Amino acid sequence: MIPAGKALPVDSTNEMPDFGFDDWMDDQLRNVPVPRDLDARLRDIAGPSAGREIARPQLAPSDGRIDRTLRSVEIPRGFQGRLRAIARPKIFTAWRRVPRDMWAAAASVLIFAGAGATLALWNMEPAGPTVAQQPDPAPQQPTPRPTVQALVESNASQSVETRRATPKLQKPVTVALGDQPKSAGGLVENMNALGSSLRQAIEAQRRAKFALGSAGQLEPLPDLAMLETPVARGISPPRVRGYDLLFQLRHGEHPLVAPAADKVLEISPAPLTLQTASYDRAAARVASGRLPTKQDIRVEDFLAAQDYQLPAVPAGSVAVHAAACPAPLGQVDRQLLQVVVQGADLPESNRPAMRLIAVIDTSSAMTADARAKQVTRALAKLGRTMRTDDRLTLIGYADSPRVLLENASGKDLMLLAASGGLEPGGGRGDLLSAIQAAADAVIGSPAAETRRVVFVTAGSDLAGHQRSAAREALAKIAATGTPWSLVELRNQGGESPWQDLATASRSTTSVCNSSEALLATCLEALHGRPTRLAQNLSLRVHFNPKQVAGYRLLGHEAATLTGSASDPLEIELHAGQTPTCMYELVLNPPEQTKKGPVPLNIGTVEVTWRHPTNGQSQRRVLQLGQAQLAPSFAEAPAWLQQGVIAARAAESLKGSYFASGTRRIGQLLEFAQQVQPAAAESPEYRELVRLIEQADRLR
Amino acid sequence: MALTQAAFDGLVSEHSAALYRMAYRMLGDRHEAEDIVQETFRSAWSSRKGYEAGHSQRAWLASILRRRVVDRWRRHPAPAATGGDFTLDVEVNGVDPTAHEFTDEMQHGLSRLPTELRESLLLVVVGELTHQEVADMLGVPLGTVLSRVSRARGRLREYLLVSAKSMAG
Repeated sequence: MIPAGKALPVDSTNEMPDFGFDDWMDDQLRNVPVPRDLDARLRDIAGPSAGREIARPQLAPSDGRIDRTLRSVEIPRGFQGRLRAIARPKIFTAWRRVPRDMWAAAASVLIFAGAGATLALWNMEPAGPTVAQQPDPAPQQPTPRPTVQALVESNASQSVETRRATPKLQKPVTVALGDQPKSAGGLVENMNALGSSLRQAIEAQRRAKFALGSAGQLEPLPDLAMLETPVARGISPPRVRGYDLLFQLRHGEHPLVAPAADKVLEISPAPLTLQTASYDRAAARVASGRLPTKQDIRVEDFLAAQDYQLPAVPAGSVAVHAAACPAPLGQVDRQLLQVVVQGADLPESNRPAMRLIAVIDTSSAMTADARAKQVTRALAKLGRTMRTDDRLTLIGYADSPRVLLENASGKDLMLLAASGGLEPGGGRGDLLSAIQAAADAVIGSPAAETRRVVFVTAGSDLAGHQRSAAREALAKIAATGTPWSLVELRNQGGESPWQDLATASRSTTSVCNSSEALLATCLEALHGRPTRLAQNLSLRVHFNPKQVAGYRLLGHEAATLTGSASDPLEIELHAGQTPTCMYELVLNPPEQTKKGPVPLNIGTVEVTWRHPTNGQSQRRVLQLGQAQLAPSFAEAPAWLQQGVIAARAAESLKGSYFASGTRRIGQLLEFAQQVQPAAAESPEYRELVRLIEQADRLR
Repeated sequence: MALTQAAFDGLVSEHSAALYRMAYRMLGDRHEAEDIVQETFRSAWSSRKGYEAGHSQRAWLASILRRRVVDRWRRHPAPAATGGDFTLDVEVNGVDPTAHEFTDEMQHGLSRLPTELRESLLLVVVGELTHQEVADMLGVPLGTVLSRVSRARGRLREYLLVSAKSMAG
């Protein structure tokens, strides 16, 4: 029986093979709600102390955890007050113990009381005729003693205004007639006004305290998290029969599709992205002891975060790699196919030694969208490529610029990146001061050196007067013959306010949303030449419907079915970049003929691009046959093993419909240890394994 | 420009917490840490005529604090640090383990680091100085500071892991 609201994943036309039924059934079998406090009650079986033992860290703590613990020292109460007292004169120290608020209130009372008393005395007439005459001298009737309120209300008819030259008190003084003594009425009225003024003074005092803080100084506003509009990701699904749109809507990932169901489905245009934001956010969250939200996991970002160990290719060329292996912890008939496009590394030329002055934003804006992690990743890779005679000056800026490294080597930069020294410290980013600091650094360095400046910022918009000062500083840099590059880390493109100045001074501005794009800019600065190898590069996989029963693209799902799909189908490829994509395949049993089984022919991978300088169109086609199919995960190439573990980890964290075999992410660890040494030694892979271990413990 | 009282108050607000944490981690005693930080600010105030605004105030204060701590260590030697691989055998021969307020594992781990590693780590992590500032302060090459911080973290991590496993098991 099918539970309400859970439809069978069968196409309504019943014309396509149903590949998802087993998964769906498994899902239903497992779909039993667990009581919320079950874990805690089970731990209590062995006593509360045992429960705490389980919570103890069993893994090596991360650097972030060590740092937080080192800083977690409670500050004694009143400590800052005692320190401030050092600079104060040593007289009347006893008086200072009286709270500041009481002093202010007492001063206010004295001032206003003095003013009120003066005013009252002024209004008091010593003797003689009254200053105002009764307009109607009718016989007087005994009347009740009027109240202050009544006197005020009858102001027009029963009183006259006596205007005195009191510039500070604009309110006219009302003098009552009748049997009310004039002088006493003035005193009451003035005391009334005095009370009102006192209330206002106390209120003002209260507001001032709220605005200034108890210390009497402006308290810094809290750092607000940057709110950004949702980033459009993924690709739009094909609107053809055989592509289960409802499946994507329900599960948030691409369904298995049969290439035989429609001609359109035989060709899969694969998007190529280099973004790693989802992976970086997940790693940071797991390191802080929380599991990432499932909606935030994107498989393609996990794949892009790996540094694939590929064989070297000739300089300036573009290579295509494809391989498949049985999916670990998946169904027996499933294969994982990965395609990697490789841009050749930049060759070492006879360039002069470079002094790179890198200015990076370390303000709180860098915490948004894992920008700081992108910078760390890019700079760590930059450190690996720097020659021993290259030198780096690294300036970080938030509220003010600080020199993080001076005259440093690539190794120093790698160490700094590995030790978390590039983490954002909070505060606002003062780009103007940073540009001025860079100008000072350029002017202060030997003119004989070849210098370049790279600014990495989360936002380059400055107020009018700051902009002109920043332009002056940038012009100073350019005047020394030092080109600069300004990189803005954001998702949406757009015109940079510095474009005209950059063009005039042989400099560049760009917008990056990935560490690889940032690295490309840094490498261009380091090498002094463009690193672009291909433009309009696109990848398409043609599946053979006779042998491929079904396939699905991992990741790249659109946020909605109606739009928000922006993953590029054409990219620029720079030196050293390795964009990749992965498919899960269901192969038909080998077809038998009289001569034996038909050779495996999964399909072809087609990559096209244009040469960056002459625009010449180029094309490379790779046949997917038996040679690309590894018999087991352990025998797969190292780069495929890396990709498979990354993709499976992402699907497990995402709670993917297809990750039934990895409901517990820790199950992947067994396979993670089987990877070849080339992959196991990669820092990115080690970080991934650490993420899996930590996530497993959190679950 | 001499240090004004308002600027001094600003220094206290901005840097006292970090300096206190650093002092506590170096000395392992709250009262002594408090005294050292007060002495540091007293020294800063007494040398206010030589104060230069714009330079790294944290580094300036940290260098004063470090001198005070070293003076204190001369009077009362610092807790023994093992230079090589540490073990989990805590000395128990009539010594109260809380005598120096080493009440947490991190403080235990720190006490087992060689002085130069501990100092570099604390200046960078707790004092929030840049590696360059620490290198300038200690008069050692930048790479040495980077390497010391990395090694200190590695040893602390190893200690905490072993400690956690032994307590769980």
